[in-house]
Order: sequence, then structure tokens, then C-alpha cells
Amino acid sequence: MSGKDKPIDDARRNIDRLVNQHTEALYSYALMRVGKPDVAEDMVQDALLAALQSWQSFAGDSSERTWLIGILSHKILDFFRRNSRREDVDDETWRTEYFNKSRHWKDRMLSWKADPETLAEDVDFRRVLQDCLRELSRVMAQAFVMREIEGCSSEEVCKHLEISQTNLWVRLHRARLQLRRCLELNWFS
Amino acid sequence: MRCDQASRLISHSQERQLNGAERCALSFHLLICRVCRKYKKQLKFMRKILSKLRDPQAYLETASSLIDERQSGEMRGRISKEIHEKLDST
Repeated sequence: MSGKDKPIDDARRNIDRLVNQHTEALYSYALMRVGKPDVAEDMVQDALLAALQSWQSFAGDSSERTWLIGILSHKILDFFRRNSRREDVDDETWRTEYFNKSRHWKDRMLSWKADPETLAEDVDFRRVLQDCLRELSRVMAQAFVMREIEGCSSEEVCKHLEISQTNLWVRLHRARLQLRRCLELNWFS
Repeated sequence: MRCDQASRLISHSQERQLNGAERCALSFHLLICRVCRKYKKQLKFMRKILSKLRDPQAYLETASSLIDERQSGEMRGRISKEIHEKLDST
């Protein structure tokens, strides 16, 4: 029977199963990267829709979840590119935010006593990290997420977001300062 | 070299090869500045943690505990409704 069905009918039968099985994992994957719940939900929906529309191309040689994450990851990168702010970011405000007049640190800087491997799996820490990432302005966050979570090279990030290397370095530097402070205040102290 | 410049070079060293003068000035600063040494360590720490989140597997177990059940039920409902509608209109 199924051979006579239009592919779309075949896909349609899978909608509810796919949505029920994968939404949570896809959503938390997306939320960590895009920060905003409504955007993350849109990404998941787009990815599932795209998956259903290309249902025949799912070879079945990888797990369904892996296949879906692959599609989702493309959707997220597309979103970053579409929303990339190409203007230069101000390179000076961070100085007064993080350093005093004699150009020493304003922050206390604690020793972080934890094992990164274990911490990465801690649900409470993940929540704090997610909130801290969300605090980053979009200009910084996209570059930072691509570089640090996706593990893209500097060159790849610049090309994708159409920004210069100097611009990327400024964004990453500021993102790191801000994320460090946020994690220290909300988790390590 | 002051801490503001050092912090920038520490960050840059994760992106590019520092030139000789930069390397030299930074290592000297790190010798005398405990705070910047900590900063450097923490950046490494952050990089390690964040790279753990690359793997889709990292979202399997935590996913359900990060979203509450009601919220996720509602979301599933919205998503499946939207998808049905979009497929119908194509």
C-alpha cells in the first residue's frame, strides 16, 4: 500500500510520532544556541517540517535523532546568517565595564573548583549557562556560539557571518568577559 | 602591559598565533599577575565545557529536566498543529 502513497502522505503519518519523540531534545539543543524560547521553538518547527518534506531522503543509516539534529543545526546557522549584524562593534566600552582606571580587573576572579566534564552534565549548571548565554547581545552571541559550541574555525565564522577577523576577535573577547562574570556570579560564588 | 591588554591577548590566543612581542609581553604579565592567570584558566575551562555541548547526545538526558512537562506538551501541540497546516497548504 505505502508504495502507492504520495510521499507527503507517508510523511504525514510520521508527524505526531516525530514531534512526540524528538521535540524536547531538539528544543533544548536549539535553546542553548539561540537563547530565546520563541526562536528556539520556531527553529524546531522549521527543522521538523523540513525533515518531513524530505522524508524520502532519510537513508536510515544514521539514527533519526541524528538526522533531525543535522537539519536543525543547518536551520540555526541559516538563522545566524540572516540575522548577522555586520556593523563593527564598539571596541572600547568593555574597558570601563571590566577594568578600573589603573587598568586592573574590577572583578574578583575566584578559583573555579569543578571538573568541566561533570559540570557539563549538571542540569542546574546547564540552566545557568543557558541564561548567561542568553544575556549576551545577539552580535556577540552568534559568533560565540558558532566558535565555542559548534567548534567552527575563526575563518568559518567570519565567512558565515560576513564579518572581519578583527571584528570577530572583539566579539569573542567581550563575550568571554561577560560570560565569565555571569558564570562566576551565578554559579561559582 | 596592563590587565585590560592582557585579557585581550589571552582571548586572542584562542584565535590566532600571537606574534613574538605579544607572546613575550603576555608571558611576563602572567608571571606577575595572579588574576590574569586565573582568567586564562577560566577561559580554557569555559571552552572545554562549551565544546561538550556540541554533541547532540548531550541533550538527551537533560532535555526533559530543562523543560517542564506542561510546557513541553503545549509546545508539541503547537508544533504539530503548525506542521499539519503547512503541509496542507503545500
